[in-house]
Amino acid sequence: MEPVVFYTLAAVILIPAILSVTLRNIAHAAFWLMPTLLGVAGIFLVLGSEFLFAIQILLYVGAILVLLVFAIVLTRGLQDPALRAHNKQKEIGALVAVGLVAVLWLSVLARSWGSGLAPKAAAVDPTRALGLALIDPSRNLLHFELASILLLAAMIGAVVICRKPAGK
Amino acid sequence: MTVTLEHFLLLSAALFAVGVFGVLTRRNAIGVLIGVELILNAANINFMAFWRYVAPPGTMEGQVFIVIVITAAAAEAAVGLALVLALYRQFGTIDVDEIHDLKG
Repeated sequence: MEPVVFYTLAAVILIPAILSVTLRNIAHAAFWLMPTLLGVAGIFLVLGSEFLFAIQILLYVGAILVLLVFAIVLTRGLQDPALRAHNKQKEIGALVAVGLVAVLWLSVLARSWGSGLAPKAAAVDPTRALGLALIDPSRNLLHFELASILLLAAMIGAVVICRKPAGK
Repeated sequence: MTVTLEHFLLLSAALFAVGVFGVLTRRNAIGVLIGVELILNAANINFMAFWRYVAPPGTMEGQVFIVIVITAAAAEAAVGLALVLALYRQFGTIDVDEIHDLKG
């Protein structure tokens, strides 16, 4: 992979990510999430999975982001520009984030990952391989089914939580 | 110079830290959820990079993990935003610093 592709994707991911946690207007913050999510989709693509690229765009950009925007539209109260967008721990939070990144980077760089480790050859048809791995009873079928149950439970839970209380 | 595994790990660590900052400092509950989404995406970058660079050929578990994480993120977003709406209806605000009553 060309380094320029990676660095472009990294910029497309990180700069909007920083904006989306710092901007005062929460609607702008939610929309700045979109380049980040698309950049992560690009990472999936360059690392050899077209399927996850499509899923990332469909689910994150198409569904989760729209949900976020709906929730922002349906709630008022912190949208007033006069209000502070961050709590009193802003400085401590920034310190924790910088410390975290320092520790993680040092621990990544301290270990030799076999630099120049070539990417493995991708499977001939990664999408087919992923589908077969998901429904293979000796490998991931249980997790796949548990994910279905999780989605069902989340759907019912969201409806129940969101429902207007009876008699109101 | 080529792109190695470290590049992806450093990118993912940075994205994770940005997400943690959002979770720690946002007053708006939706802002906190945005931070959580960033953290989950950072984890997915790592899964993908390790799958491509380290996992033996033929294993698909890295991608399976990503599918599961995206599923969990969708469930989390649905339930989390439903909670935000319920909180807004109950308290008239979604400031996570002001909501501290367990019993409405």
